[in-house]
Amino acid sequence: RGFSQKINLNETNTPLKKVLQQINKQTGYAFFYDSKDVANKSVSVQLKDASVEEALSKCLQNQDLSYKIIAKTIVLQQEDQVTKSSGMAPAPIVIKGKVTDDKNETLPGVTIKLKNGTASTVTDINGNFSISVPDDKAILVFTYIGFTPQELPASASSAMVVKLLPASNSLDAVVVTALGIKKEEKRIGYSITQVSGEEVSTTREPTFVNALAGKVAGLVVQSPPNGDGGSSRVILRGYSSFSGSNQPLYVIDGVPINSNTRENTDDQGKVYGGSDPGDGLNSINPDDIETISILKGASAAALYGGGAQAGVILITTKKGKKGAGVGVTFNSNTVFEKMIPYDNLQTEYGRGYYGRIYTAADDTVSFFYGGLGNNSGDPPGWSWGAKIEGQPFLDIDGKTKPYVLQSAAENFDRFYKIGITSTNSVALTKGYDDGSYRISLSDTRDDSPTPGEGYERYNAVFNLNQDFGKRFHTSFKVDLSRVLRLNAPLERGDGRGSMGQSYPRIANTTDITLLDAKDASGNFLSTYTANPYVQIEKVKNDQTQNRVLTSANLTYDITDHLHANVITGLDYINTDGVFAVFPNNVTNNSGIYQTSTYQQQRTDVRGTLNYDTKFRDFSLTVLAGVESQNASQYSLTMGGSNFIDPSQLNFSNLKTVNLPTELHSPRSETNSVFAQADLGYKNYLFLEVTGRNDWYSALTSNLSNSKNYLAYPSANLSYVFSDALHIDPKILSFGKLRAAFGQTGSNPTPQRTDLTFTSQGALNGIPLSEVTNSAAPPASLKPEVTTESEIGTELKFFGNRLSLDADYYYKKSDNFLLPITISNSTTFSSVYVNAGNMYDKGFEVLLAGTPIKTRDFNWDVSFNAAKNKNMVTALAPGLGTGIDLYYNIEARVGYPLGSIFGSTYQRAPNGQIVYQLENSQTGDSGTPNSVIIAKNSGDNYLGTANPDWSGGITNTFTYKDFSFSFLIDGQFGGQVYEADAIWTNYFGNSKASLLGRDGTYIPNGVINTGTASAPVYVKNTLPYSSYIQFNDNGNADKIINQSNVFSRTFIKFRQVSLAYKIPKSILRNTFIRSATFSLIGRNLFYIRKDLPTFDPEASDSIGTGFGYDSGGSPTSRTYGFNLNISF
Amino acid sequence: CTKNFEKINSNPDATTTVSSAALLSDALVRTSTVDMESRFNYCHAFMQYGYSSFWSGTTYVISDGPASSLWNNFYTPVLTSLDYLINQTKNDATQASTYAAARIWRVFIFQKLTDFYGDIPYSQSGLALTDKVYTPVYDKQQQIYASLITELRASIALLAANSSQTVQGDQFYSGSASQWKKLGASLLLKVGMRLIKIDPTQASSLAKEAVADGVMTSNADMPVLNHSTTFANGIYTVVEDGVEHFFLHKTLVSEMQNADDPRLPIYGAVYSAPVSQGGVITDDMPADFIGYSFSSSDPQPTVRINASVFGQQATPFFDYQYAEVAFLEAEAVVRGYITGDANTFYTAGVTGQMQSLALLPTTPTITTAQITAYLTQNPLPATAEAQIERINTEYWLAAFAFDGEDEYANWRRTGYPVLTANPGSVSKTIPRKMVYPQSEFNLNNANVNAALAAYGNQNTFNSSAIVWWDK
Repeated sequence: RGFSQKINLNETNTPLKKVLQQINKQTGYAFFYDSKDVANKSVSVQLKDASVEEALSKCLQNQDLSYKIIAKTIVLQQEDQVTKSSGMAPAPIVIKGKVTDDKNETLPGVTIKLKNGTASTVTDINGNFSISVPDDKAILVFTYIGFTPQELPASASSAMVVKLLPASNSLDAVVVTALGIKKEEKRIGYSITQVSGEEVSTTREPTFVNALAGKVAGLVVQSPPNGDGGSSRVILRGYSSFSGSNQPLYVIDGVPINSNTRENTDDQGKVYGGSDPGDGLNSINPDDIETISILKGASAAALYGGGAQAGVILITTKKGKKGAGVGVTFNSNTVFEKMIPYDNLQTEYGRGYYGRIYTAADDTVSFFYGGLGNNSGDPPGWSWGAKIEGQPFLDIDGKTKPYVLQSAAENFDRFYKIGITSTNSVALTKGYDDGSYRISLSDTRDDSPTPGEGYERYNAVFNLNQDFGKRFHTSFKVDLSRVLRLNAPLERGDGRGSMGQSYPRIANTTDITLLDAKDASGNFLSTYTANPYVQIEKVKNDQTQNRVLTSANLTYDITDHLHANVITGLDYINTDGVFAVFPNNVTNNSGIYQTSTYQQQRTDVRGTLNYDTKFRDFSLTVLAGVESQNASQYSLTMGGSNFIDPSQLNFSNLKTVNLPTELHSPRSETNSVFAQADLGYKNYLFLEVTGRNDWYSALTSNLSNSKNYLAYPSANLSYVFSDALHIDPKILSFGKLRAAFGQTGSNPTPQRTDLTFTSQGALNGIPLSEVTNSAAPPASLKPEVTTESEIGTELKFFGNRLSLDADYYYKKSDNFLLPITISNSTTFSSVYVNAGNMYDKGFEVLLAGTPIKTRDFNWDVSFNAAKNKNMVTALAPGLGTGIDLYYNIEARVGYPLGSIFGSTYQRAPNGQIVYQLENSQTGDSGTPNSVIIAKNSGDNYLGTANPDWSGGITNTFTYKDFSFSFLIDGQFGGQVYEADAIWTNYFGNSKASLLGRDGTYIPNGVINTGTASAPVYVKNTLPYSSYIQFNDNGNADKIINQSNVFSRTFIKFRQVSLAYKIPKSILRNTFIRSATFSLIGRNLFYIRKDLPTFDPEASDSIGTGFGYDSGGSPTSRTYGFNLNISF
Repeated sequence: CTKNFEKINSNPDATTTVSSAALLSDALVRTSTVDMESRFNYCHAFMQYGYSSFWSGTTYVISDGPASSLWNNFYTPVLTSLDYLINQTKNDATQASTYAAARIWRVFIFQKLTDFYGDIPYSQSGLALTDKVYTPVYDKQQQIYASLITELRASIALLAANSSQTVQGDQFYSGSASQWKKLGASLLLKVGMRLIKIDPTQASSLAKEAVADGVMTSNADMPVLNHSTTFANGIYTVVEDGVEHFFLHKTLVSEMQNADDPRLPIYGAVYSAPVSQGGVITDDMPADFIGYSFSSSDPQPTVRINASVFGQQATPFFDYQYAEVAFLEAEAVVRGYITGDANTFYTAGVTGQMQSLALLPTTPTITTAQITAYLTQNPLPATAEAQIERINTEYWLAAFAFDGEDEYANWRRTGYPVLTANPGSVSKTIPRKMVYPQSEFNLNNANVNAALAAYGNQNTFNSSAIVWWDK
């Protein structure tokens, strides 16, 4: 039916929308308008046979709306917009379309902007958009985070179908750089690596950063087996400092967070036993992470100045997207954890001594058998017994049994159970016209393989983005988390019961459950050191951490090219700890009880002004800002001992209650100014210059010669020669050379610059005061500074099928600030000084390619490798030979930081090992009948803890909706001082202890028949006694440090995952938008491991004492599944 | 933007200013609260006061922990506080007596250090703060002694000139400058008498000078530190709190049994086990006591140090006993250094020492009759050498528990009591100088090695390891 050109209307207070519908009905003219422009408007109109124009002008009178008729469409617009667009402009056109990714998945929330105009919109939940443009020559710009922006001419004739390609393959990828500034990768003149949140959320580790192991060149991640929630060791491009832990600065959504490990603080149980109190990183829910940017070098991190010395890890969390509608994502993850038994232990000889089995005659302990005069108090005994042949023997429970091996695998199965960790996260996002929000809730529960040990984490994150008008943009975030650590393991040689401590020290024919046996009075079997059951039953070590991470980010666009931004952030952590050892006969007869509370607070306020402009072939962005950072800590610890009732935990139940210890330090403030200029020429040459000046409260004192500020400059240059030289993109699609220089520093330790006194109380009514900490204040102080230069290149070949990213760096760190031990005869025990210098140099390679790419099948390979060499170049005068960092680990000039020193095998000038005469058994008299290796005592270099090379290779295969991926990583070179090897040797459990047991091994070496100063070497003819070498009848005085040093080299099958994405065709008629199911495995096995029995990644300390391992928990492998559903 | 920085960087749990009283008080208290490993593990073992299986001193082997504890604990915190105090008060006329007292106590500490270790950092010790000296040179003991004498003379003069001024933070004499002057003079006597072998002339003149200045004349003059449960007596940390509830040595037990010494049941008792293992006194009859013997064929020891007297947190500590002064005077008379009656000093020493034990917890007063009987049985002999032996044997008996390190010096000085070295030891001689702490070889290597030149170039108990005044 036809339409009339005449319109009849008789409406009173009718909604405008209805009236417009009337007109449409009567005329056939379609209307196009923004519904919000029409909403809440009503008209009263009487018309008879009016023209369309007449009707519209009547209806829109006083409605602030104007109209344009284009063909048969009437476009309504807000008056002001009309006036703004050129008054004489042709009528606007409405463009509709859909945006998808390369796999034809619709993309909600893609921003579509009119190039050189103001109109903009975003795609809805189904990827659809519509935008009005002034004419048919309009160009639309499509941008979406993680995807290459695209510019396309608007097409009105039919719905546009736009395909966006993921940024990782693109030349114009945008990465997050310092201060959260997003930049096109080509503009960047330094190495930066960005990984997606998926990398850390799919194959789940409780602490997200642990999942980065092997994935980023130059990033070395170790998660010491300290239980879930323990500290992580993350080293970027080697060490940068002697002091502190060399851990990078973590910045979440623009705000630096508290990630200090409390490992090296004065906490109870820090390095000598106790548990690792963690570093605060594990409270972040991996599901909330959108991207992680790793700023490895000083140039990348220079804008952070002090505190960024060890690099920066920038985390951007997920947010809702404007206009994207409602979305719900559910992720469920369940992994099982199984402990890996110690490997490579000897299985031939069992419990006993001198090659024989204990008998009842050896019994000097009333309840348990096996207490020998020289082995008393240790019934589980040594494995220096007879050959295991099933013969009858007297076990530690006094029963005669067959003499059979109780293997590590069997004992591990008896002691440990299968751990289960389940994580459930749900996230709700909503996007609307001028804002969005995201609410995420997550619940992680880990029932550890160790009975009684566990970990729980609860997160609630609320994120709001809200625009107020066109120019004022705001973003707010609150992240509430609660982390519970239940019975965190006691580590580092702690005698209170960890399996890592005890297992190397029991005989291999002992069924571990016998250690759980108790006598009539409830006493445990006495053991040489720890009894793991004591830890389970008598030790309570719980920590509860509540944290608020909150930030506000306000941006005002003063003009289109000038923006003002303010970010404020607060990180508040409260950690309560309970540590108790209930009275027991093994570790503590009377019991101890300690409670502690820690409050850590960190605030950051930063304001920046940002201006960008273009002139001729140049583009320029400049930025300037100020920042103030505050940190403070408060702690209160209380303790006591001597339980009245052996089962009650409260202070009134204690006979001895110690005075509480309260600390209101450290606290610090750093104020800064910074600026950055980024100049681009013709889209292929880019220069960035930054500067920052930090003023530190921690270096402020009344000392005349102290300097409390430092400027950190940086500059970097990026040259995209593929563009500049117009190289054929079919061969070299992208080629960039980069060069950078930058400086960073460290946040000095506060409260070291003045001599202070602390009241000690009063005696006989007279007060006492003493120098606090007995550390002398410094003579002068300079801030630590790290200066780094790097050059690199990024090349992409054959349409991005192959890419190479490589760089070389040289990093010099000076003026280390640390308390050094000085002779007590100075009347001080330490002094805080600028104590040394060192350098790191190395290179990093990332090679990625797609060897096979077909419609259904893809094979992607990514390989990364990094080499780093560290060298200590200077120490402060008067420091003697070096600085002891941790037991055998030292800093010494001419050696890498963290090198191992100790006693070595004596060698003759021709290199032969020198043996010394001994009797093979203590108590033998007369002529020595065997030999052991002679010790060259003293501090000899034995190796360095730092690997020469580290790297990883990831293969990903995708076939239709399946994807299979695995990661193999490794470290090459470097040594570990394995203190536990002392004990596997001493107890006769190691394979090394087998050598010469039967008295027939005559080593090829020499014996010194002369004196030490005038040696005469003759060939050895006597058999070797590993028993004397390693045990010496319980004296352990012949052990040589060198025999405890092993290569750290390993190759690990780190991670595997198989994912199935349920096809769209199946989900089409459900409310589910997408669903992925994956099977995952982590830390599955070592392909190569040079260190016998123990874990080459384990260490007592994550700091500069790294490289010394004295019995952490054994490691575990995990496997499980992950389900991700979006609605 | 940095205007609050000094305040922020100040330690909220501490202050940058400190009263002289609190520092002197701290130094005095710490002198006898710190760990006494060196004094027990070595000095008590060397002097055959006792035996513990934890002690390296019995067999004359080197063990760095106990060898360094006197060094570590006296240099810090005792000398830290004293040096700061001395610097703080040196130009303050209103604190002249406090300044002098601190210098006297510094001499007291340094004499113990140098007598034990020989040449030690002295002139450059304590310069970390003012002159940034972190590796102080070792001074010759002869020079150290010269300086100690100068320091004492200056302090005594200062106290004489400011006798009405209160010594602030005084734990001993309620601030009495004149009492501190007596302590200074008594110390000068001890310093002087150390020199009898190396420089008898100076020893004689110093003894004269000290007595003229006015030394202690009764127990009321001796510095007694009253400890509390919070500030426990250092002996407690060894005996009660630690596991070294040591046996008395046969040498001591036999001497006291033979002399019918009423102090024996105060010094020791038979215990069922070490107190740390819940041991209790099972016998307090001195006749039953069996001391530790070097000979393994002798019966097992039964008598341990009396923990209810010495192993209490609140046991008072006698830093310098009046008896020691009296015995030094008696010897000085015998040697003809000073005038007077040796027997009077001897009697006063024995009497004073026995009476002073009443100050200790749970100790009954030794009656005048008991003291008289003891003196009758153990009179001062006739010949000079025998007198010196008798006097210094009493010195040895008096120094038990409280002053083992001083007795170790006194024994080296006089040779009395005559002790037979442990025949089971490797060296078979009692060492005459303590080795330097191992940490010095890491932290002050060049200086400690230079110092070793005088001691056989080895940090061992060797025949050259003898301190200057012991030559």
